[in-house]
Amino acid sequence: MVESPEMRDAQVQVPAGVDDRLLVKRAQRGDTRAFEVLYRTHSKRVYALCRRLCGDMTLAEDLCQETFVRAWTGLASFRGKAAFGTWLHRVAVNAVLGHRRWSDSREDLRAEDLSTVEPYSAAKSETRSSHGLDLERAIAGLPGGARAVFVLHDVEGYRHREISEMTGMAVGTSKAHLHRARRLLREVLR
Amino acid sequence: MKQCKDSRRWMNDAVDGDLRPDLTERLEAHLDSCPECRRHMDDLRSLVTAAAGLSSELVPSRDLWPGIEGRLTGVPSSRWPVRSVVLAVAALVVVGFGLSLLRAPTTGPQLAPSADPGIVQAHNRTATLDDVRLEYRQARDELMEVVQARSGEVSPETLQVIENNLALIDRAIDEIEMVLAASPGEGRLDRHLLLAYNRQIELLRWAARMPSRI
Repeated sequence: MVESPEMRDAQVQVPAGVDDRLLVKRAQRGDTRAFEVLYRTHSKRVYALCRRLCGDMTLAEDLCQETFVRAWTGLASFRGKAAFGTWLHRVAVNAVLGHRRWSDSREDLRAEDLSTVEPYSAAKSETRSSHGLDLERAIAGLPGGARAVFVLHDVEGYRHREISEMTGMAVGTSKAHLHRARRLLREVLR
Repeated sequence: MKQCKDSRRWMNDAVDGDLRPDLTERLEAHLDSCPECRRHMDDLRSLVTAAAGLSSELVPSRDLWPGIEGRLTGVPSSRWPVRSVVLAVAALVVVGFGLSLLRAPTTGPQLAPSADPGIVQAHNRTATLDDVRLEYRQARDELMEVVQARSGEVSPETLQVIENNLALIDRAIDEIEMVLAASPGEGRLDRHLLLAYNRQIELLRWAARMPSRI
C-alpha cells in the first residue's frame, strides 16, 4: 500500500506539552532525538516556506533538509532571544536565498506556464479552496525575485526592511519586486 | 488621467499601511469617484488577503528526516541520555539531603492548600502526570510569590542558597521532562519527576516559613 504524506505524518508522535526551549537545550547537547522532535514540529512550516520561495517541489525538499542540517550545525549560536521557530525561519530563508538555483530555476517561467507547476499537498487539504491552489500555482510561476519578495512580504509577513537585511537588496528594490509580483498575480488570477 | 495614475502608484503602499495620511485621503477621495480604480484597489486587497490566508504548512512528498539524520555527523547518537538522568537524580539527592539538615521552622506565613508537599502521594494514585505537573506548577507559583514577598527579610547568603538549589532542581526537572518526552510512560522517570517537583515545593515551603534574617 502506498502511504500518503498525511498518513505517514500521522504515525509520527510529537510529545505534547514539551516546549521548544527544552528540546533545543537537549539538541544543543547533541541529542538527535530531541532534534527530531523539533523537526517534526516545524518541518511543515519550513517546507512551505522553501516550497513557495523556490517554486519547485524537489528543490524545496532538498532545501528543507539543508535548513535543518544548518540549524543543527548552528544550534550552539541559538541563544533563545527569539522563538526557535522564528530563528529556524531565518535559517530557511538563508538556505533558500543562498542556493544558486533558487532564482535561476524559474526566472524564465511565464505566468501562462502555470499548468506545469506541480500540485501542492497542504497540511489540511480539505480546507484549501481552488482559489488557494490557483494562487499557489501562480506564485510558483513568478520570476525569482518577485516571487521571493511576495512570499516573504505578503505570505510570511516580513517588512521590506527585514527583507532587505535578509536578501541584501535595497528596500526600494524589494518594493519594486513586490509591486511587480502583485501586478503579475492579478493578471494571472483575473 | 493623472489622478488615476497617481492612485495606482499609491495603492500598494496604501494596502501595506505605508501611505502618508494626506495621500491616503486623496486616494480615498479618488476611489469614491472612479469605479475602475476602485475595482483595481479591491482586486489588490483581495490578493493580499488571500496571500496572508494561505496555509502556513505544506507537507513534503516524503519523510525528510532520514536524509537529515544521516547528515548530522560528529555528535553523540545515543538514544537515551542516561548520563543526564543520572546527574539530574544526583542533584535531587543532594538538594534533598541539604533540606533534611534544615530544621523546619514552626512559624511563618500560611500557605495555600495546593502548596502542600503531600500532593505527590495523593496524586500518585488518582491523577495523570499532566494533572500533577499542573498542580505543582501552581503550587510553585504561589510559594514563589510568598518567598519573593519575604526577600527583604532574609540574608543575601540565604537567598543565594535558595536560588542555587531552585536552579539545580529546575535543571533536574528539565532533564527528566526531556527524557520522558522521548519515552512517555516510563514509570521510574515519572517517579523521579515527582520527586523533583516535591523537592522544589519542599524547598520553597521552607523558604516561605523560615524566620527573618537567617
